[in-house]
Amino acid sequence: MDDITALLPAFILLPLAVSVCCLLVNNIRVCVAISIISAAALLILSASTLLAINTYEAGILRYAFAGWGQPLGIELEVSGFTALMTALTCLLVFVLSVYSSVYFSSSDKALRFWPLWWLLIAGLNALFLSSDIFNIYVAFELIGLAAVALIAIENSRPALIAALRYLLVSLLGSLCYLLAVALLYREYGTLDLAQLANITSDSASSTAALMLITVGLCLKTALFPLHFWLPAAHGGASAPVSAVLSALVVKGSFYLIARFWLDTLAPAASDAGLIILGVFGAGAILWGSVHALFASRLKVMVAYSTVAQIGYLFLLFPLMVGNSQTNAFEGAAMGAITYLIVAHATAKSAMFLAAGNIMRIAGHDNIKQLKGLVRHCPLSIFTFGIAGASLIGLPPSAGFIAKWLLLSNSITTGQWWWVIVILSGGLLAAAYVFKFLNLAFTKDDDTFNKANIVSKISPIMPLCALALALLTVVLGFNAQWLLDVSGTLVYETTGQGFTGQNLAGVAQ
Amino acid sequence: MILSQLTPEIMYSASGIALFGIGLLGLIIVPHIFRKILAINVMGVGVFMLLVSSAKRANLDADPVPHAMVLTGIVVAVAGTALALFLVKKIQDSESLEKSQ
Amino acid sequence: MFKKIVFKEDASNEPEKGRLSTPMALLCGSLVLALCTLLVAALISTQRHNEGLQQAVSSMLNKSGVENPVTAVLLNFRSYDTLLEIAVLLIVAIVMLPQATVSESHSLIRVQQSANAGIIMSSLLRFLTPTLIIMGGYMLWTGAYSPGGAFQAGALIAGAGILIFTNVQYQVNMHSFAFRVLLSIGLCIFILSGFAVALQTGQFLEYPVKYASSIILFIETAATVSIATTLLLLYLAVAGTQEDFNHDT
Repeated sequence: MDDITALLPAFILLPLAVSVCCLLVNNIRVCVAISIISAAALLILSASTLLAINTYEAGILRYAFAGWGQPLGIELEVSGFTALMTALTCLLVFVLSVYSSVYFSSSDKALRFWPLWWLLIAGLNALFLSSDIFNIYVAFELIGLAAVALIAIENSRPALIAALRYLLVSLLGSLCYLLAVALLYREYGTLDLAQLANITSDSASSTAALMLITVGLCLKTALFPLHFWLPAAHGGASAPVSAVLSALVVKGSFYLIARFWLDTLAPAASDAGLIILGVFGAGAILWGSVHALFASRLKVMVAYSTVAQIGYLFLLFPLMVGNSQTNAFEGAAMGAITYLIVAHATAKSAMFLAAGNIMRIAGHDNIKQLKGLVRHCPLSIFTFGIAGASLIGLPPSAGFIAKWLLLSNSITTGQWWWVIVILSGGLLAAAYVFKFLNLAFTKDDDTFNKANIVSKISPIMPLCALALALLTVVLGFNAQWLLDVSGTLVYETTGQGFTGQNLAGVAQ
Repeated sequence: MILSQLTPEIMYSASGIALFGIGLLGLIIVPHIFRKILAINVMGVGVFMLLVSSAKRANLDADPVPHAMVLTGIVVAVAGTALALFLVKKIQDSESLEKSQ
Repeated sequence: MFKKIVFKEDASNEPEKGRLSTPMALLCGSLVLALCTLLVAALISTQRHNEGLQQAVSSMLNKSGVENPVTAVLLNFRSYDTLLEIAVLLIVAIVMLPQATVSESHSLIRVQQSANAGIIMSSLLRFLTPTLIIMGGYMLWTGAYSPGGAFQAGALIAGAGILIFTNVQYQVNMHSFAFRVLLSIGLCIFILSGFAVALQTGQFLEYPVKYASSIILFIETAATVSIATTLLLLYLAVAGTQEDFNHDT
């Protein structure tokens, strides 16, 4: 156990070191080699942490930087949930690094990409593992600035404007969060999340801090109606960057909203607030899906679909009303959301990679001009189909399990109205996925033909996308395992929620 | 009653919050990008002021942790501002390039 | 809120463009005012914590290797924050590095003897540059005892750098390997020192008490170099005076 604990800083330090190496060597081949080896090492490390965490009695590992321990120093904290998030990060980073090694054609872009990419990963791991609210602010800035920088390497005017807008939103969100940190430190005299969770009360200052955190982080998560920056930013970035932004970056701020509402500042949270978050989530599902349906560009469509999928995550909050569990990251609703995060991350990154491949081949991603594309990139369209099935929630994908968990949760907690939202979101998702697939399979006069192909792509690119899409199917068959390792499913809640058997029944 | 609450600490903190509010309002209603970037910096200064003013503890020396947080925050704010200015410059360059073509 | 952003240098020609209508602006104003009032009310009604971390810091200060508590927090108790902060600066530096259009083999600094710098500028340089650099060194050194430290020192030295390189006589080659080393040496040394002390003490960045002050000074010196180089790069990239050198040669 101690071995794993001692290795925890590597999740942050290895990416930082790789970033510096990539900057110094300034040679693409060396960068790619270092990156893929390090990504593989991180993947192994995260997998062993994930497997180790549940054998550990408390289910939590802590590592004190500089040996001081909280509250004076900063600690890293790994629970089942954060171990799963880190493992997800490392897994996607590995696949996306392989993809990026062949994606970037221009040397200038690639030379900039690798150091920034690893700084972003360092920020993501730092965010998921941190147990210190001010350290989380620094991690947010690391993620925010690296993400903006990665969008800006595209260097086109729309991408630069999207990056600038994203930067303003991200800085505004961080400042709201920092103001809340100031209020919390003034009132409680500590910055450690776990310590705060034991001493927070429902004072006016804590309530104000919770409001500021919610607004600031909802801006970063792009919860409807604060999502205005997302479609341009995620739609304008290069494919691997879009994938990591949609799959991981928005999840980081969502994780913290959930952590503050359900754990750290739970005494200051009110049922009305939880329900309001759910209402905004429902709004996001409908608004995002409708916009995805009418989007004219493929990547914008996928980006709007992210807006909708973020909405599903926020249905967690109303489902937690009246939940008196001490550990917020347990319970049937949390299990559903954990599953949804993993399912969406794999499906959405697969979709963005497939869209990136299509854009490479066709030179644009204008949906109307992509008729009959299936003959020219069958694998990417196939990937898009599988990932789309997961977003819609068709069995046997991971998305199906996630939505099933969410639906039965709504029913067991007597909040049937969310069922309508979840189902109509699924139908709308089916509409926009099939709209594109239908076009791709259409054959008539103005179909996409060989003359329209701008460039050929390396076979590695569609294979990476396919690997991620197949992963959503594999996860669909291993639902119980995933919920076990994340430690979110509580078996004692028989009668309501889920038991192991009926979940296994769902998975088959 | 209210006046007795107005300790120096509260007054400094309230000024910090006022700066945050002024910055926020500027960010929302002023369209020009440089002013938006300035507005974000004003907001940042407000937050830093609140942090520093809460460092005073009863009968003790000042708490150094908020000071350290402010110093870290300033560096991060410099980085964010510089990145924003650089992006604006590139956008303006691309604009003038388009016009000249 | 960010739908209409005006990018033009001179917006005075079109004052109406992108501006919110007066009722909207008034609405926003009253909302912000309400928010601030609520926050201040929350502050007044909530007791602040008695000691914060003041006691914890002062009781451990003698083990930290420095006398200035703020430096102790920044470079020892919460050094991990500072490590990430230097990484944040590196991001911006990478973005602003100019595109590689010239070969890397050029030396870091190029002096053009022929260029006429003007007598006022060159005599100003002769006085100010050494003064700024010495003051920067002092700031770095004094950070252990009183206010000061890597960022303050870095800012002063960057000021000296800006003075030198806005002069036509001297140009810095941002494509050189040496320049990238200067940018990243702070993060490099921070990580390496953290790792090296971990071999001795077991925890990353846990300094042996005996050597703590020297290790902190070592890390801070490296950080000063990177901060100064980054700030110089930020200025040159945004102010854009180095274009000629980076594109023509």
